[in-house]
Amino acid sequence: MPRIENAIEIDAPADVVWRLLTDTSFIIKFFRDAVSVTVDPPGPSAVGQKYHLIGKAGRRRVEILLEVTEIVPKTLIVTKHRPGGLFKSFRQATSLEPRGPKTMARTVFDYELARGYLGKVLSLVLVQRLVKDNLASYSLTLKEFSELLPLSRSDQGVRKPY
Amino acid sequence: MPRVQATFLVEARPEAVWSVLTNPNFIPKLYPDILNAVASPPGAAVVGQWRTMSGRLGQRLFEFRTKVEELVPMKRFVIGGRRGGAFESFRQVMELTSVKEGTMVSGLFEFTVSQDYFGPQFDITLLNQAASLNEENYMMNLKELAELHDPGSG
Repeated sequence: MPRIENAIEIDAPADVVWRLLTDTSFIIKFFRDAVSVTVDPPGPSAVGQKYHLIGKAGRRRVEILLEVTEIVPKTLIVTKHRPGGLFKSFRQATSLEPRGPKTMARTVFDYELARGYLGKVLSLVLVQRLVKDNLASYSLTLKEFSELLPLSRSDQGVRKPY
Repeated sequence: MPRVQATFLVEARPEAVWSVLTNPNFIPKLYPDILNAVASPPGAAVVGQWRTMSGRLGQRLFEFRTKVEELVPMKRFVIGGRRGGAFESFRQVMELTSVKEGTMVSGLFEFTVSQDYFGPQFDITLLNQAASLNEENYMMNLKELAELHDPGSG
Protein backbone atom coordinates (compact mmCIF):
# COMPACT_ATOMS: atom_id res chain seq x y z
CA MET A 1 0.00 0.00 0.00
CA PRO A 2 1.49 3.36 -0.97
CA ARG A 3 2.46 5.67 1.89
CA ILE A 4 3.39 9.33 1.80
CA GLU A 5 4.91 10.87 4.91
CA ASN A 6 6.04 14.38 5.46
CA ALA A 7 7.12 16.47 8.41
CA ILE A 8 7.44 20.20 8.26
CA GLU A 9 8.25 22.96 10.70
CA ILE A 10 5.68 25.75 10.61
CA ASP A 11 6.51 29.23 11.81
CA ALA A 12 3.21 29.63 13.65
CA PRO A 13 1.86 28.45 17.02
CA ALA A 14 0.10 25.10 17.23
CA ASP A 15 -3.21 26.87 17.98
CA VAL A 16 -3.11 28.61 14.60
CA VAL A 17 -2.19 25.43 12.72
CA TRP A 18 -4.88 23.46 14.53
CA ARG A 19 -7.52 26.05 13.71
CA LEU A 20 -6.71 25.75 10.02
CA LEU A 21 -6.50 21.96 10.09
CA THR A 22 -9.95 21.66 11.62
CA ASP A 23 -11.67 24.47 9.72
CA THR A 24 -13.40 22.47 7.02
CA SER A 25 -13.81 25.51 4.77
CA PHE A 26 -10.09 25.23 3.94
CA ILE A 27 -10.09 21.56 2.87
CA ILE A 28 -10.33 22.13 -0.83
CA LYS A 29 -7.38 24.49 -0.85
CA PHE A 30 -5.17 21.96 0.94
CA PHE A 31 -5.58 19.49 -1.92
CA ARG A 32 -4.58 21.04 -5.22
CA ASP A 33 -7.02 19.07 -7.38
CA ALA A 34 -9.97 19.12 -5.01
CA VAL A 35 -12.84 21.06 -6.54
CA SER A 36 -15.50 21.15 -3.84
CA VAL A 37 -16.40 19.54 -0.55
CA THR A 38 -19.64 18.87 1.27
CA VAL A 39 -19.23 18.48 5.02
CA ASP A 40 -21.83 16.64 7.08
CA PRO A 41 -22.54 17.97 9.65
CA PRO A 42 -21.18 21.39 8.69
CA GLY A 43 -18.74 23.14 11.00
CA PRO A 44 -15.34 22.45 12.49
CA SER A 45 -13.94 18.91 12.28
CA ALA A 46 -15.47 16.44 14.72
CA VAL A 47 -15.32 12.67 15.07
CA GLY A 48 -17.93 11.08 12.80
CA GLN A 49 -18.06 14.08 10.45
CA LYS A 50 -18.24 13.05 6.81
CA TYR A 51 -16.57 14.70 3.83
CA HIS A 52 -17.75 14.26 0.26
CA LEU A 53 -14.93 15.65 -1.85
CA ILE A 54 -15.06 16.19 -5.57
CA GLY A 55 -11.70 16.25 -7.27
CA LYS A 56 -10.51 16.44 -10.82
CA ALA A 57 -8.30 14.07 -12.73
CA GLY A 58 -7.61 15.55 -16.10
CA ARG A 59 -11.04 16.63 -17.36
CA ARG A 60 -12.86 14.10 -15.20
CA ARG A 61 -14.59 14.46 -11.87
CA VAL A 62 -13.69 11.97 -9.14
CA GLU A 63 -15.38 11.41 -5.78
CA ILE A 64 -13.60 10.91 -2.48
CA LEU A 65 -15.57 9.87 0.59
CA LEU A 66 -13.96 10.38 3.98
CA GLU A 67 -14.80 10.41 7.67
CA VAL A 68 -13.05 11.91 10.67
CA THR A 69 -12.28 9.01 13.01
CA GLU A 70 -10.08 10.48 15.71
CA ILE A 71 -9.34 13.87 17.18
CA VAL A 72 -6.99 14.75 20.02
CA PRO A 73 -7.40 18.53 20.38
CA LYS A 74 -4.41 20.51 19.13
CA THR A 75 -2.47 17.27 18.68
CA LEU A 76 -3.94 14.75 16.22
CA ILE A 77 -6.62 14.38 13.56
CA VAL A 78 -7.24 11.15 11.67
CA THR A 79 -9.41 10.78 8.58
CA LYS A 80 -10.33 7.50 6.90
CA HIS A 81 -12.14 6.62 3.72
CA ARG A 82 -15.75 5.51 3.49
CA PRO A 83 -16.83 2.90 0.93
CA GLY A 84 -17.14 4.19 -2.61
CA GLY A 85 -15.21 6.72 -4.63
CA LEU A 86 -11.62 6.92 -5.76
CA PHE A 87 -10.00 5.07 -2.88
CA LYS A 88 -10.22 1.44 -1.88
CA SER A 89 -8.58 2.50 1.35
CA PHE A 90 -7.30 5.82 2.66
CA ARG A 91 -6.03 7.04 6.01
CA GLN A 92 -4.61 10.45 6.83
CA ALA A 93 -3.10 11.19 10.22
CA THR A 94 -1.81 14.69 10.94
CA SER A 95 -0.15 15.35 14.27
CA LEU A 96 1.15 18.60 15.71
CA GLU A 97 3.94 19.12 18.19
CA PRO A 98 4.52 22.61 19.62
CA ARG A 99 8.11 23.78 19.48
CA GLY A 100 8.14 27.11 21.24
CA PRO A 101 6.47 29.62 18.94
CA LYS A 102 6.68 27.13 16.05
CA THR A 103 4.95 23.83 15.30
CA MET A 104 6.18 20.56 13.87
CA ALA A 105 3.44 19.03 11.70
CA ARG A 106 3.66 15.41 10.61
CA THR A 107 1.26 13.91 8.10
CA VAL A 108 1.04 10.29 6.99
CA PHE A 109 -1.16 9.19 4.12
CA ASP A 110 -1.76 5.46 3.51
CA TYR A 111 -3.94 4.78 0.51
CA GLU A 112 -4.95 2.39 -2.21
CA LEU A 113 -6.85 3.36 -5.34
CA ALA A 114 -10.11 1.60 -6.25
CA ARG A 115 -9.21 0.42 -9.74
CA GLY A 116 -12.80 -0.44 -10.56
CA TYR A 117 -13.83 3.17 -9.99
CA LEU A 118 -11.40 4.53 -12.55
CA GLY A 119 -13.00 2.59 -15.38
CA LYS A 120 -11.47 2.48 -18.82
CA VAL A 121 -11.18 6.19 -19.48
CA LEU A 122 -8.98 7.35 -16.62
CA SER A 123 -5.38 6.22 -16.75
CA LEU A 124 -4.23 4.50 -13.56
CA VAL A 125 -0.75 5.95 -13.97
CA LEU A 126 -2.11 9.49 -14.35
CA VAL A 127 -4.35 9.15 -11.30
CA GLN A 128 -1.56 7.63 -9.19
CA ARG A 129 0.65 10.57 -10.11
CA LEU A 130 -2.06 13.13 -9.33
CA VAL A 131 -2.85 11.56 -5.96
CA LYS A 132 0.83 11.43 -5.05
CA ASP A 133 1.36 15.08 -6.02
CA ASN A 134 -1.74 16.25 -4.12
CA LEU A 135 -0.83 14.40 -0.95
CA ALA A 136 2.81 15.43 -1.10
CA SER A 137 1.93 19.13 -1.36
CA TYR A 138 -0.58 19.04 1.53
CA SER A 139 1.94 19.91 4.25
CA LEU A 140 3.48 22.73 2.25
CA THR A 141 0.07 24.33 1.81
CA LEU A 142 -0.72 23.91 5.51
CA LYS A 143 2.56 25.65 6.30
CA GLU A 144 1.96 28.43 3.78
CA PHE A 145 -1.55 29.20 5.08
CA SER A 146 -0.56 28.96 8.76
CA GLU A 147 2.23 31.46 8.27
CA LEU A 148 0.04 34.14 6.68
CA LEU A 149 -0.31 37.22 8.83
CA PRO A 150 -3.44 39.28 9.31
CA LEU A 151 -3.26 42.87 8.13
CA SER A 152 -1.81 44.68 11.12
CA ARG A 153 -2.91 48.01 12.52
CA SER A 154 0.25 49.53 11.14
CA ASP A 155 -0.73 48.34 7.63
CA GLN A 156 -4.15 49.81 7.86
CA GLY A 157 -5.33 53.36 7.83
CA VAL A 158 -8.42 54.47 9.65
CA ARG A 159 -11.11 51.84 9.22
CA LYS A 160 -14.62 52.96 8.48
CA PRO A 161 -17.31 51.49 10.70
CA TYR A 162 -19.60 48.90 9.11
CA MET B 1 -13.60 52.20 -11.50
CA PRO B 2 -11.62 49.07 -12.59
CA ARG B 3 -13.64 46.61 -14.60
CA VAL B 4 -13.02 43.09 -15.91
CA GLN B 5 -15.33 41.78 -18.58
CA ALA B 6 -15.36 38.65 -20.74
CA THR B 7 -17.71 36.53 -22.81
CA PHE B 8 -16.80 32.90 -23.34
CA LEU B 9 -18.24 29.55 -24.34
CA VAL B 10 -18.54 26.78 -21.77
CA GLU B 11 -18.98 23.36 -23.33
CA ALA B 12 -21.54 22.27 -20.78
CA ARG B 13 -25.24 22.78 -20.21
CA PRO B 14 -26.40 25.91 -18.34
CA GLU B 15 -27.36 23.69 -15.37
CA ALA B 16 -23.71 22.63 -14.95
CA VAL B 17 -22.46 26.22 -15.14
CA TRP B 18 -25.18 27.39 -12.79
CA SER B 19 -24.36 24.74 -10.20
CA VAL B 20 -20.73 25.87 -10.05
CA LEU B 21 -21.65 29.58 -10.00
CA THR B 22 -24.14 29.30 -7.18
CA ASN B 23 -22.45 26.76 -4.90
CA PRO B 24 -20.24 28.65 -2.41
CA ASN B 25 -18.09 25.52 -2.02
CA PHE B 26 -16.50 26.33 -5.36
CA ILE B 27 -15.49 29.92 -4.53
CA PRO B 28 -11.97 29.09 -3.28
CA LYS B 29 -11.33 27.19 -6.50
CA LEU B 30 -12.68 29.94 -8.71
CA TYR B 31 -10.54 32.74 -7.24
CA PRO B 32 -6.89 31.64 -6.96
CA ASP B 33 -6.14 33.84 -3.95
CA ILE B 34 -9.26 33.08 -1.93
CA LEU B 35 -8.50 30.50 0.75
CA ASN B 36 -11.96 29.74 2.11
CA ALA B 37 -15.56 30.89 1.94
CA VAL B 38 -18.28 30.76 4.57
CA ALA B 39 -21.86 31.35 3.44
CA SER B 40 -24.71 32.47 5.67
CA PRO B 41 -27.15 30.82 5.40
CA PRO B 42 -25.06 27.79 4.35
CA GLY B 43 -25.78 26.02 1.09
CA ALA B 44 -26.57 27.10 -2.44
CA ALA B 45 -27.00 30.77 -3.26
CA VAL B 46 -30.21 32.53 -2.28
CA VAL B 47 -30.90 36.23 -2.58
CA GLY B 48 -29.51 37.91 0.54
CA GLN B 49 -26.96 35.18 1.28
CA TRP B 50 -23.77 36.61 2.79
CA ARG B 51 -20.40 35.24 1.79
CA THR B 52 -17.33 35.95 3.90
CA MET B 53 -14.02 34.91 2.41
CA SER B 54 -10.43 35.08 3.48
CA GLY B 55 -7.77 35.62 0.89
CA ARG B 56 -4.07 36.18 0.69
CA LEU B 57 -2.03 38.99 -0.69
CA GLY B 58 1.62 38.08 -0.47
CA GLN B 59 2.13 37.03 3.15
CA ARG B 60 -0.98 38.83 4.37
CA LEU B 61 -4.53 37.67 5.00
CA PHE B 62 -7.46 39.84 3.99
CA GLU B 63 -11.23 39.56 4.17
CA PHE B 64 -13.65 39.82 1.25
CA ARG B 65 -17.38 40.24 1.97
CA THR B 66 -20.17 39.85 -0.54
CA LYS B 67 -23.90 39.32 -0.76
CA VAL B 68 -26.08 37.59 -3.35
CA GLU B 69 -28.24 40.31 -4.87
CA GLU B 70 -30.07 38.70 -7.77
CA LEU B 71 -30.77 35.19 -9.02
CA VAL B 72 -32.61 34.32 -12.21
CA PRO B 73 -32.14 30.55 -12.43
CA MET B 74 -29.85 29.44 -15.28
CA LYS B 75 -29.72 33.00 -16.60
CA ARG B 76 -28.39 35.72 -14.31
CA PHE B 77 -26.42 35.84 -11.07
CA VAL B 78 -25.48 39.10 -9.37
CA ILE B 79 -23.17 39.53 -6.39
CA GLY B 80 -22.60 42.80 -4.56
CA GLY B 81 -20.04 43.84 -2.00
CA ARG B 82 -20.66 44.37 1.72
CA ARG B 83 -18.98 47.06 3.72
CA GLY B 84 -15.73 46.26 5.42
CA GLY B 85 -13.05 44.08 3.92
CA ALA B 86 -10.92 44.44 0.84
CA PHE B 87 -13.34 46.33 -1.41
CA GLU B 88 -14.91 49.74 -1.08
CA SER B 89 -17.37 48.60 -3.74
CA PHE B 90 -17.80 45.35 -5.64
CA ARG B 91 -20.28 44.08 -8.19
CA GLN B 92 -20.22 40.86 -10.23
CA VAL B 93 -22.79 40.10 -12.91
CA MET B 94 -22.81 36.70 -14.62
CA GLU B 95 -25.25 36.02 -17.45
CA LEU B 96 -25.79 32.66 -19.11
CA THR B 97 -27.28 31.95 -22.52
CA SER B 98 -27.99 28.44 -23.71
CA VAL B 99 -26.43 27.82 -27.15
CA LYS B 100 -26.08 24.74 -29.34
CA GLU B 101 -22.49 24.12 -28.23
CA GLY B 102 -23.22 24.61 -24.52
CA THR B 103 -23.49 27.87 -22.60
CA MET B 104 -22.34 31.35 -23.52
CA VAL B 105 -21.28 33.14 -20.35
CA SER B 106 -20.85 36.89 -19.97
CA GLY B 107 -19.05 38.00 -16.85
CA LEU B 108 -18.57 41.52 -15.56
CA PHE B 109 -16.69 42.58 -12.43
CA GLU B 110 -16.58 46.20 -11.26
CA PHE B 111 -14.74 47.04 -8.08
CA THR B 112 -12.95 49.64 -6.03
CA VAL B 113 -10.25 48.32 -3.74
CA SER B 114 -10.40 49.80 -0.24
CA GLN B 115 -7.18 51.66 0.35
CA ASP B 116 -8.44 52.33 3.88
CA TYR B 117 -8.56 48.61 4.55
CA PHE B 118 -5.12 47.79 3.18
CA GLY B 119 -3.41 50.92 4.37
CA PRO B 120 -0.70 53.04 2.82
CA GLN B 121 1.88 50.25 2.65
CA PHE B 122 0.02 48.64 -0.23
CA ASP B 123 0.17 50.14 -3.69
CA ILE B 124 -3.30 50.65 -5.12
CA THR B 125 -2.18 49.76 -8.66
CA LEU B 126 -0.85 46.41 -7.48
CA LEU B 127 -4.04 45.77 -5.49
CA ASN B 128 -6.13 46.50 -8.59
CA GLN B 129 -3.94 44.20 -10.68
CA ALA B 130 -4.23 41.39 -8.13
CA ALA B 131 -8.02 41.75 -8.05
CA SER B 132 -8.28 41.84 -11.86
CA LEU B 133 -6.08 38.77 -12.22
CA ASN B 134 -8.25 36.84 -9.77
CA GLU B 135 -11.41 37.84 -11.65
CA GLU B 136 -9.94 36.79 -15.01
CA ASN B 137 -8.95 33.47 -13.48
CA TYR B 138 -12.43 33.13 -11.98
CA MET B 139 -13.91 32.97 -15.45
CA MET B 140 -11.33 30.49 -16.76
CA ASN B 141 -11.82 28.29 -13.72
CA LEU B 142 -15.61 28.48 -14.06
CA LYS B 143 -15.26 27.09 -17.56
CA GLU B 144 -12.86 24.35 -16.46
CA LEU B 145 -14.97 23.22 -13.50
CA ALA B 146 -18.27 23.28 -15.39
CA GLU B 147 -16.76 21.19 -18.20
CA LEU B 148 -15.58 18.35 -15.94
CA HIS B 149 -17.06 14.97 -16.85
CA ASP B 150 -18.06 12.06 -14.65
CA PRO B 151 -15.53 9.20 -14.67
CA GLY B 152 -17.82 6.80 -16.47
CA SER B 153 -18.78 9.18 -19.27
CA GLY B 154 -17.03 9.15 -22.62
